[in-house]
Amino acid sequence: MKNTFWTGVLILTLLFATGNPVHAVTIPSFPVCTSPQGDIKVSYSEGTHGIVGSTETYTGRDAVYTLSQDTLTQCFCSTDGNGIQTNWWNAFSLSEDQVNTLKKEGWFYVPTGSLWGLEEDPYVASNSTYSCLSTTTNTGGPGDGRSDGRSDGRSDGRGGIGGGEILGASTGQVLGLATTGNMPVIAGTFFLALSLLILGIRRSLASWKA
Amino acid sequence: MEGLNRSINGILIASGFVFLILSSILVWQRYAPRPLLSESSATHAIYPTSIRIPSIGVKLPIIPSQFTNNQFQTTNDGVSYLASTPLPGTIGNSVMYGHNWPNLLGDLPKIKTGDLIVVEQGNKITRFTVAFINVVSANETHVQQNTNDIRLTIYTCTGFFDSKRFVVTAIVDPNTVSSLPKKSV
Repeated sequence: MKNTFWTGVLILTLLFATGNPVHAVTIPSFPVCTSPQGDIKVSYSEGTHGIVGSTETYTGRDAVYTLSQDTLTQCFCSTDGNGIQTNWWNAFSLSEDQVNTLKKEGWFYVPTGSLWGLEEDPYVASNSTYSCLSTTTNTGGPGDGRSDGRSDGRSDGRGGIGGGEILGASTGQVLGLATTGNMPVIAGTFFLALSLLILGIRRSLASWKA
Repeated sequence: MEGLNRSINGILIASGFVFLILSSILVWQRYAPRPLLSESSATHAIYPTSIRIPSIGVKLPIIPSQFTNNQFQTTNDGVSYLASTPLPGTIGNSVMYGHNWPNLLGDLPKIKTGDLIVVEQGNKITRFTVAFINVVSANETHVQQNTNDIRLTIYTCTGFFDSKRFVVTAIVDPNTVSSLPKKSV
């Protein structure tokens, strides 16, 4: 009895000592760069660009889309077709604990967005990669609904990042279409249920007879 | 030994009942009424919000989905819009799919060429006319390939044990894109 008590105390102590308080953060949704949304804030058809969290410079096409008052998406497409999507989130209204939680999830904290052409507020940013077409030509494409080589809706020849072809779902790299039925699962579950019931009942009957 | 046998029998029968209940839930899920579409207050929705196919009585919410880890995200609450494809009403092939459950796209095979499909995105509505209907194998991914016209491809499972896909291709109506009248406050 005494041992049980002290084990309980030990477990509770460990739980309280090691458990960090959870600071729930609801991350806003960001569209993917292969289907960019929002209003274009800035767009460069070529040039050298920086990516948050990296000290390297990157050459290629870059565009920033304003999604809402607090969120933006930067779509960079390098000359060799490697894309980097950076999701920017204004951290002005986030608490320090929430920022720390995001940092643990791989977000970068940027004290002021002004160095990145954004507001002077603090931001958190997160990078991910995607595939895009080479930046040497603007191809238009599925993301922006243009087929005339422009991708940002402008006529001044400045292209945006949205011209990248979708590599993946729409280019045949997917091995199959979506699974939109569950008949095999239902049938499998039902027959498993039936088999277990029959087996159980038969065994019970046999043991009663014996 | 007797006791052990009884326990095993009990476990077998209990497991059988659990799986029976599970399969019943899966069947019920196919027929359970869907929540009614609520009027969206977002006039500038990033993604399409709802789809209507009046000829077969379909009116469902649209849930954006991704293709990640070699799997398509699917929803039990409406029609999935593959967010990596163009927005409906813009040049290219917008792809949607949904379960073939009676309460979702189960009636899609009743659709006919010339039928109307309406996609709403905030206060923007886009009308499509069904141009092609096809049944393909699950590996015929060409139906998702991008196109130079403005089209909507929507599909669901069909055939023996859902092994095929019933694919509907609709082309945008001319002068299709319009805005819903603003609500008076």
